[in-house]
Amino acid sequence: MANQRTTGRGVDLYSLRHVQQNPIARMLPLSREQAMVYRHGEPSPPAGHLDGYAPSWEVVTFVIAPQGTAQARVSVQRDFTLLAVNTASSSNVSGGFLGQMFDVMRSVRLADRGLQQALMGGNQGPPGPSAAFFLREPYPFHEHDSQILINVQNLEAVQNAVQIALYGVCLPFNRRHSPAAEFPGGPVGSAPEKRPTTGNQ
Amino acid sequence: MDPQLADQFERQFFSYVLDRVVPANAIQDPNQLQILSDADFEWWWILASRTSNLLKVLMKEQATGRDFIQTTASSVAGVQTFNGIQIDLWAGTAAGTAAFPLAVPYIMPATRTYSLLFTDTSGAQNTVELVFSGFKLWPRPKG
Repeated sequence: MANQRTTGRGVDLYSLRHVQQNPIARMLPLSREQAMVYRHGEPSPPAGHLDGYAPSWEVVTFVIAPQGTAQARVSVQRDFTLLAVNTASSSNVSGGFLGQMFDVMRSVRLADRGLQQALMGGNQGPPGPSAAFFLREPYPFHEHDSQILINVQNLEAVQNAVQIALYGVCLPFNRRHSPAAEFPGGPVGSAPEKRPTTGNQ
Repeated sequence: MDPQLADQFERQFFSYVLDRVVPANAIQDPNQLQILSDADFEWWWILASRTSNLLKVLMKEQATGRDFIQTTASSVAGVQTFNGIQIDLWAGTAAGTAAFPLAVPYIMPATRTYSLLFTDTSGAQNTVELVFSGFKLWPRPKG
């Protein structure tokens, strides 16, 4: 049978062939998805489109005054794709901090308003560390020169050392990826060898 | 990798382990982990055990100079030097959480060396065990 995904003869509702998926999502049955982490019985790594990408942790550290706010701008590596978020703070009596992220190049905010630390990502406790918050689907930052803007508001009455760890994958420097967008400043190591030309040149 | 394609490797579950007693207040205490020469290693999970969670980690790949853990954030008031990610945000711990899944596996080539730099802020010796868990990749015989 040509297409095993169809639900009926001649029916192809949609194809997932070019859809980027969080590989972990495929491991999870819809019931008790938080408890079902690991896949079983698949012959190949289910990395899909991100196969060959390298793990990367973008770590943002703040030391914020009591009740203060801070802002940081992260220039992500090429083709960075966000998979998970983890947070930590030195004080967490009144909720730690509120954090909000923006995708600068797309002008998209990733949360309606600032999220409490415990809701933004896994954390290191106390009382004990909790597992990382994994996105159900990866969030790609694939525009060139992509940046993440992070706003943090300290909820504590004391100085707070805050760390936000953004786990994702990015394109290794020594790999070519032909669909990758070209930087305006000229070709780079992983750029396509031939740039498209137009007829009026 | 397209799961429809036949994979060329047999996978043998394997864990690389790094043990270190980090001196009190050490800053970027260097340690090395080398992949064995018999097979490439497909890295899937990270686990850690530590005395205190007041410990930061940096990881670098020596052959390529790749930093796995970095910050590109513009300078933030009060932060002097970037010494890495807090260990409990990087690895699942024996006490609290399950192993941290990379989700997209990373191939560590045979014989390649990785540097792990620990920074302790607990003020006491910190006994650390890092476990890189995954699979050795054995080429499947052509038949």
